[in-house]
Amino acid sequence: MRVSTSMIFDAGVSSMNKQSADLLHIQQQIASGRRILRPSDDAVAAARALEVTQSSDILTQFTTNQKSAMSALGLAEGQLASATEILQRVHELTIQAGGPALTAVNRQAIAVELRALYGNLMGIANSADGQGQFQFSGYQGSTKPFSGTVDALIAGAEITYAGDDGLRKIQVSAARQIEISDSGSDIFVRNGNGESVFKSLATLIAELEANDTSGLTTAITKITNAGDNILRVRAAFGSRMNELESLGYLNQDLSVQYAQTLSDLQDLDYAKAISDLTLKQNQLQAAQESFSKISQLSLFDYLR
Amino acid sequence: MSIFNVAITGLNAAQVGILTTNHNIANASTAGYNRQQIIQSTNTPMFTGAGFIGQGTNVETIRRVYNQQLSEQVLAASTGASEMDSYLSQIGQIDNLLADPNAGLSPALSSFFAAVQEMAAYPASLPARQALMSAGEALVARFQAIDQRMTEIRSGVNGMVTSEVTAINSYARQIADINQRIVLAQATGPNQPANDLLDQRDQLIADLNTKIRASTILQSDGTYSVFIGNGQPLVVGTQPYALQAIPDPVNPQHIIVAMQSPGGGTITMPESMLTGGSLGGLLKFRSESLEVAQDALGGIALTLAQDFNAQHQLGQDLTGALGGQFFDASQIDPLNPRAADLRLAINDPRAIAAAVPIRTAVSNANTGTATIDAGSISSTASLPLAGTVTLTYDSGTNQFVVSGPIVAGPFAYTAGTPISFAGMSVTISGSPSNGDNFTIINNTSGVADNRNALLLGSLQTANTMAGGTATYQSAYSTLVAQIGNKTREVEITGKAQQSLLEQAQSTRDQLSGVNLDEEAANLLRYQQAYQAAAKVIAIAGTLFDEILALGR
Repeated sequence: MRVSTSMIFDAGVSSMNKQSADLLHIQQQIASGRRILRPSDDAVAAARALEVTQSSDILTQFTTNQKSAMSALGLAEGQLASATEILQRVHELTIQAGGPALTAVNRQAIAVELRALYGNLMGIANSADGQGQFQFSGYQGSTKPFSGTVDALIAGAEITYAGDDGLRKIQVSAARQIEISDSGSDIFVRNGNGESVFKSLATLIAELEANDTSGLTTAITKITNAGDNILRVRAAFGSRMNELESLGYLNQDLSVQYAQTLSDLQDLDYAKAISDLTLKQNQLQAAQESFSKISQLSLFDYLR
Repeated sequence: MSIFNVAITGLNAAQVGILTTNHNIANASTAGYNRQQIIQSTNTPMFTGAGFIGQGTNVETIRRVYNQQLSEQVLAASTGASEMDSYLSQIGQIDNLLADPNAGLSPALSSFFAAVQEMAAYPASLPARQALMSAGEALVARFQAIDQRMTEIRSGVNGMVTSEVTAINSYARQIADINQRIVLAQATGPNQPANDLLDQRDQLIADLNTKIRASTILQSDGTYSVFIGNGQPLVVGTQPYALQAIPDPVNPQHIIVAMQSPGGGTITMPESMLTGGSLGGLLKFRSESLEVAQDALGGIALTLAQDFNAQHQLGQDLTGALGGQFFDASQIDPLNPRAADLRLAINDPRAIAAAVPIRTAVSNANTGTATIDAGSISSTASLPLAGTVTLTYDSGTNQFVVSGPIVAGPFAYTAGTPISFAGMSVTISGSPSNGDNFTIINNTSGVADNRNALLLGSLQTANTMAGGTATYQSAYSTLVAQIGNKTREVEITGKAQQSLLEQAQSTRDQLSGVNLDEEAANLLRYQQAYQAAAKVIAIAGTLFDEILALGR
């Protein structure tokens, strides 16, 4: 084969260019730690990585949402736990008030404590969350759900619930929106007594203030019913919190899986990259050396 | 005397040989140079009684070592390689643009929907609403930035099309000019090729082919006619025909190529005719990749805006008003969608419609155990409600009748099956008793209601793109994969064309290229021939002296 002088130069330069380009690519991969520098390096993996990243971002958001839901439920549960304690105290006081040795003054003293407990319970029913939103007013977060004094209730009126039955929900997984509230009406009104816990309490106070013990048995039943109803709501909250906890574990597992998938898709295998780098380096050196030797050969050197 | 004559023919031939070798050495690295060699033959011998006596040598011609077919192979490979080269350098920009994991659309999309979720968790919180608005602005800005970058690439392509056309016209003029000179040169010496001019013309044709695929026909007068596309003449004889770069009458954003018609008007050339070379690569990139990518991005922006607006307009904002538009997509042309035309319509965080405009209730007087869900709406046409809508159960017929400001039904009752009327839908489950009432009212002061926000959030994973088969993210991923695959394809085709070109060049250079060692040897060969011929003259001189010496 006849070889022209420029072929020697062109071929040498072209092969060195190719080696340098490969070297640069490996160098960029090593510097960034990423196998895919641009989508064209592996289009399918690049597109897949974007989708996995979105899934992972959504998962992170769900984890944040789970924490919000957990804290909202925790707050509401805490409030209702206090309500349970109040009703337990009311229960004790009612039983105590039935004691035959008690005088009218004693019963009035109990009524005074019951009035205070009424205020506490009302405070709980009107409690607000961290954002200043009423917790037990359904969708109407800025509407105070309950208002009414003991005396107004004694006078005959039933308390009106100003909220609604709306349940606030938070998206905690792709398929689950968890309720983070319950309506005040469900907690404090619809308790099987046909009247609100406030009304029952007010009636009890009125009776004790009048030193009338005839309604105490009914009062105890009503207080028990109201307390059981709150326990029912708390149990529902508790089971949702359990669910959130197990969802949290699931998310942790998933998040590890996503991270693994992402790493498999786009991260560089350093061992392979460094061995490739050494190989390419050797090839380039060999190309350079052979080129410099071949290009020096010339017959003109021997013409004298 | 004939000894001198014969010797001088040898001297002359050797001199021409040395000159030609010298020319080859001088042009060893001249682009498009084909090595030349002298064709030597014997002079007509003289007939004598003793037979034919040789009369020395002459140089018939100096020819270039050239093979038309090998040259054409180089042209074909080079026009293909230039096309892929110019395509790759353009699409590489989009590839890089989409590559950045922080600058692409994905992170802006994710942040936007994260802000929707955050707002859903705290619907009454103004900071959460403000954060969603800011995330919306960031998303719009990201759409605009990516689209604007593509528009920049497009105007870059326009500029390059114009300069490629200028270069093509310049080559056409030079080829026409050199055609003229070749005709003149070859007229002075009939049958003698004007080697260097031919090389120069071939080099111009080669340069032209790096701009656009062109074919040539050798005319009988020695001129080349050059054609592009399917036979549009660029040069005929000594006449060049200019191309023009003009704005596309249909789509003025594009600069396209036109040819001057003999009548003086311009005829636009379809892109299918303008293939090969860097111009072909630019046009192909524009129609095949840039256009597709920009439309895809615009499509995502348009669909996202429409979907989000539609859901948002079914909601109720913090002030109790029905939701308005969240995005403004009115400037986006559905046929030619550009993401840069997307705007944010909402400018008040309170106007974000997180709530659903209706809510439901179970009448306290009900004796059955049936419950009603929160209700949903598909149209706001009958909202706000002029009063309380009541659904009353009739156990005799097992039906619900709707009364109040909206009258509808009766609807047969099946537990858990939605009852829909006037753009609303509620689901009653359980066992209602005769006369049980369920009510639907306006969601007045429903500031903690986040039902619509949850629906807005669910759009992130809803398949609303590509005929209901893809999410926004997967539509964007598809675009990234499309551009990535195309870039890869162009890269690989480009490499293949490049090695094809190298092979074709090497095959041609094996024949036509200058080898300096070979020229050194030729130099020695002709030097020795010259020295030998000179020696013959010296010997002839001494022979003559011998004759003169006889007379002394």
